[in-house]
Amino acid sequence: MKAEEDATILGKVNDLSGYLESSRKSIPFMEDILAFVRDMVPVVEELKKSIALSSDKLPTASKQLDKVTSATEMASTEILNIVEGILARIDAMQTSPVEESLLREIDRCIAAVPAQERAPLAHAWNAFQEFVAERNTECTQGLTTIQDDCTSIMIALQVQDITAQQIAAVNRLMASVDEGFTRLMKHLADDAEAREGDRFKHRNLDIVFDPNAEYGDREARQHVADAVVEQTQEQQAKRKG
Amino acid sequence: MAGPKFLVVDDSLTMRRIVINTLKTLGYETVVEAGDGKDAMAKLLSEGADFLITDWNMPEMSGLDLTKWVRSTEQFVNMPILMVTTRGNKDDVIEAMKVRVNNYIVKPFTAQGLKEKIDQILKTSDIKSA
Repeated sequence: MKAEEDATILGKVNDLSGYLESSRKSIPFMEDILAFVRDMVPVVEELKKSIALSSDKLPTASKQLDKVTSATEMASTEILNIVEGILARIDAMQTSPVEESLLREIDRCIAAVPAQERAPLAHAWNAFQEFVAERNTECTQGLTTIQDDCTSIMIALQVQDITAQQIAAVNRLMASVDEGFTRLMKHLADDAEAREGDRFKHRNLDIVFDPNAEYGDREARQHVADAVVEQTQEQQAKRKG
Repeated sequence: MAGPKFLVVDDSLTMRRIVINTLKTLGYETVVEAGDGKDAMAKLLSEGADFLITDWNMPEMSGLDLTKWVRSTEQFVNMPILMVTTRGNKDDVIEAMKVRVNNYIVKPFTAQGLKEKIDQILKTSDIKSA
């Protein structure tokens, strides 16, 4: 029996010796892990500070974007006011009635002049009327050109609506990034501050927008639309026929 | 000049002014405006209109939903509708045609482009052009 007990004890001593040897080998590894964790703590602290700083800058950037949209809206309104004023004045000039009564009065005066003096006077008056008619034509053409230019300026102001949508899309993106930062902060710090929910809500940016709104490539995009409209109309015509 | 009464719907005041002024240069003087689909519904019911020009992306009620309402409302079911929007991809246009807009113009549009679309729509409707 003693021999068996001796064998058991020896076996257990050998096992213990094996464990101690494994532990001895793993100590440097454990020391490396502890050193790594010690080194990571300041990095995580730095990361937390950096995230908090970046996150605090986002609402400021959002307010700046709001100012941009507000400024472009104000400028567009001022330009539209001026353009509308020009168009109204042109309209008034183009529709002002010819003083027919004055022309008739002059014709009566010429008719009242003695016959021998009438011809040169009538000739001069006709020449004057032709000159005025030519100048009127030039003025009318000039006014039409100004009218067309005003329309072009007005059409170009569509940029304000399009850029407002593009800016609103950027604002929404920043809000999403901020939400991500907030979630990250909650994992890194139990005492992460709760953030105000309306930091990205501004009058000019809280609009319904098209995230793909763009100013350029108008003709290509219109061609795509026209092709679909034409195809649909053809299909509808076939169904009716 | 006589012509249809337009209802211009867009949540952007700048855009509404641009469309309305462009319509005036094209000879269409009778225009009312609305800031979103719900406002447009109310204006149609209270003041009526002959031709609807609407944006797509709007608060309260989109141009698409406004079109669906118009097409399902007996007194307006045949009203000409022109969609004016920044949405320019094929799927959007298909979706708009499915709810039966008459035509589609992409922003930024030109005055000539707007005229062509209006003329195309009026050709097939009972309403006379300017």
